[in-house]
Amino acid sequence: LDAPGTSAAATRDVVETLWRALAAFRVASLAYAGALVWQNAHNYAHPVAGRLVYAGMVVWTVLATALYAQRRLRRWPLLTLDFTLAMVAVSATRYVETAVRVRGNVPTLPVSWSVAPLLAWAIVAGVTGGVAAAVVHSVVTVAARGALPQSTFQSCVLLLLAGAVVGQVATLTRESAARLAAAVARESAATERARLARDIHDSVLQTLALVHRRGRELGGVGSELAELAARSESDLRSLVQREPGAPPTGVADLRAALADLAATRRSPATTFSGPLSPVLLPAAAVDSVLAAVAQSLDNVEAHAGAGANAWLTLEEPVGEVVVALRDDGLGMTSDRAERAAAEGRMGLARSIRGRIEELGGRVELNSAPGAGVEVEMRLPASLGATS
Amino acid sequence: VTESLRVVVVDDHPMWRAAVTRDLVEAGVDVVGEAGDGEKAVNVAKATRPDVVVMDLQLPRVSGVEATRAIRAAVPETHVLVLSASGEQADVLEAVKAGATGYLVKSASAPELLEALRRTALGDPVFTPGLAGMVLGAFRAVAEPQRDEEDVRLTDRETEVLRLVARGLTYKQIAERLVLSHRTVQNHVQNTLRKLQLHTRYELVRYALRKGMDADT
Repeated sequence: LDAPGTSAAATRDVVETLWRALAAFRVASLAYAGALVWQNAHNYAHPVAGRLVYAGMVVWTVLATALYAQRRLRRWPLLTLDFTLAMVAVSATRYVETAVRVRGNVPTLPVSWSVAPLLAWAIVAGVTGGVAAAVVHSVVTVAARGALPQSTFQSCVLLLLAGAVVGQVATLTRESAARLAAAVARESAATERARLARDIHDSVLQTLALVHRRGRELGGVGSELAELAARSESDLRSLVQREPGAPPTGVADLRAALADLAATRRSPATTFSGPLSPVLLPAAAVDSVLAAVAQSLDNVEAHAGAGANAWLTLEEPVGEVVVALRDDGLGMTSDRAERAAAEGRMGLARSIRGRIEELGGRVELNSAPGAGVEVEMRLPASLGATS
Repeated sequence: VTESLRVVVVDDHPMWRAAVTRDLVEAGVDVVGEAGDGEKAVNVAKATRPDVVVMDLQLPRVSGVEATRAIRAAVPETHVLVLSASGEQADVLEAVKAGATGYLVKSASAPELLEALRRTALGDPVFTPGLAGMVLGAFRAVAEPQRDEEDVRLTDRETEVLRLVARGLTYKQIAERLVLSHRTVQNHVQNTLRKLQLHTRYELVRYALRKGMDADT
């Protein structure tokens, strides 16, 4: 699944609506400017020049609309040209209008049409682009008038606001589109996984289960095949059942980690059993518990005898998280466990106990000859207080 | 146990269904029906009223969980044994809540399946360690039950028995360790199952009341 591509496409679609809005704004502003030129031309010092400037604005509006419609052209050359032409139109006001009128409250020739390139800057470069363009636009307007009447001051403030607000909106739009696209990608990945899981269940898992069962009945080489089929079955199953989407940073799911560990452990063959819902703990704590369990499994492999089985359980009694590992191996007398601990051979004294006690927990060991060994790691539930 | 069991086998995979049926027939079990989807499973169970329905969970049309619920409602004397390849996941727990008496993984051997069938027919719960862990977790999730639902909480002894099942001990080993009779251990497991199903019914009723529906229907 092409998540980044999907995300980029979704972002493009949303930003595209901003560009369409800008094109509409440009055309509407052109109409407004046209009405004012039509109405005021008889008061101009140079009416012909005024009409020529307006004709230029019409031509550029057509061109700009066509050029901006192409995504790959929305870059600095076009943005700079667009902005420069708008500033020329603003500056031309000084020549077209009479000196008296230009110092007063008459609008510039392009009126709001000259704001369009500023908004384009804001869409492309966010708040920075919008505000920078607004500052330049304000300076050019004041220079063209050679004065700063109240109305022009207000326009400058509005220009700055427009640049900042549209810039911020463009940035937020991009970010939320990206987030939405990521969420959609995650969801479709989960759906796809569920579909895969169904397919695999319907075909491969069924067949492997059958091979496992029949093979074991055959005995001999059949048993080996059965064992292989069983392994593939459990590998596939843990693969398709793994939850998509990681828990939040710094937190890990102890349940999933233990289930994975049990599913991949061959010697001793390990069965995991625990609640259905995730057990979230700090990631470092989960790592420590996993290491302690892995080491306990190594002990079972080394000392419990051939063909021993192990059962790994996770339980959450009130106020505690309990991880227990039991095997059906040879077991040992309690003084042997003590002696082993004293000799450090079990590794229980140092690493396993050390890791768990570091987390504020404790380790209990039970065993009897012929009854296997049971290691119980009890952790305070407050470890996962974040969840 | 010599009288032959009447069994219906439900699985959408024909090859698997044939293999299980053959095993059972060879062992003297009377396979009175087969079904490849949940809807047919319910109809066959109603028509044949078997001792046990061997139920796969991932079925076309009506799911195994829904079929289990429907069969238990229509034919209460028929027990359901879930035989699933889907692993010990949510749907297994849902099936047990819906009234299944036992659960076995598909890779279980033919003798294991026969033994499970015999126990299921008697209403004895067949639990795997994985299912016991999920059931314990489910009761843990019922953090603070209402006072009038006192009997859906597990006693300490029941919790202990379930915990030992989760740790892979057989009923016999549990009986030895807790100095109980085999029968008592079975009763404890049976009670946890009954309470789980009872609690599920409470939840369903409460859900129906919340939705403003008639809880009796």
